[in-house]
Amino acid sequence: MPDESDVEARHAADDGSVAGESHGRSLRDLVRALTRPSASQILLAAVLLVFGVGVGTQLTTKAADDPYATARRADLIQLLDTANAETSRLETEIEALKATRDKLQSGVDSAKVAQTEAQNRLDNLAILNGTVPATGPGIRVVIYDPSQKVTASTLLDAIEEFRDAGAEVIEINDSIRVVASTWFGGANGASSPTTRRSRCPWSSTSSARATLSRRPHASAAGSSARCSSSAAR
Amino acid sequence: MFAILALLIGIALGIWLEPSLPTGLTTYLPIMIVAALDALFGALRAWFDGTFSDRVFAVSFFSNVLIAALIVFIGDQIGVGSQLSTAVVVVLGIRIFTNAAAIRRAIFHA
Repeated sequence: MPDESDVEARHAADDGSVAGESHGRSLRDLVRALTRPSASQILLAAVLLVFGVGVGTQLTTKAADDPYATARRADLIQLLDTANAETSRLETEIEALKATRDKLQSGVDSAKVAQTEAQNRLDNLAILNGTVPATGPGIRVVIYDPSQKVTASTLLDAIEEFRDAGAEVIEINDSIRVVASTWFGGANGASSPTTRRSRCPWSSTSSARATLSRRPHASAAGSSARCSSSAAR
Repeated sequence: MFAILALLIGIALGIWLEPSLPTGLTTYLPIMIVAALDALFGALRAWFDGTFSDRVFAVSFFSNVLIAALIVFIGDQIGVGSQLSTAVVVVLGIRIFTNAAAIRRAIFHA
């Protein structure tokens, strides 16, 4: 039975060249050699022990470590540069998107404020213009003119005084609403607002409202005033 | 018998003890293992050829491992470490396959 220690080491173990005079061995010889321990296998065992420790260490290291642990410095620097570039790019994108969002939000707000302002102005102008009905607290003034002294200019002065006092909606004789185009004319005691001729009694309903935000929703309260009767309220 | 047992015990020790490898050595351990594999296959082929010597095997094993690690280390120093490690793995792989072919011929005579 040939033992490996008998063979002269003329070739390196890892040499690819084939020994000239060596006799070939079979698998059966290998099994027999491995199953029969001999003293010359001690060195082989020691080498294989070192090899096994290395393999085991590498297996556990490979399983436990993250992929960056064994990366080289240049690769790590490149990875870091890539990550930094990506971060700065994303931050720039975040800034742009935030600016767009703020712009849109402020645009929505300003548009809403402008719409509210416009609606308020529309309400006020509609009330002043007399295109919408108005209701609210107010006063009723009855003018008695038995001696025909009230002129058209006097009436106009009275209306303007009402305006200065804060009256927003003025109605005369429960039928004529005073607007920007209303005019007064005629002789004493027969002044006629607008195109219609009104007779002696002046019953002016003035509605002075305190707040501008109130929406007019109902028609002006109607009340009639006769020439000779006092309908003051 | 001793050889197989030692190999198994070594792998078990490496997995069980988890020896903390120096950080500078982690790059070289795979290359060293490939070089050791090449030495093992060379030894097996030499044994089938009848020219095996345990002394030569031990010396060639460690010298192979050291040279492989040294080549990769030098490559790292001059900036071509990854390429040189690839080259070492390729060359050792070719040698392993050549040795494996010789072993196959010795076993199966084909």
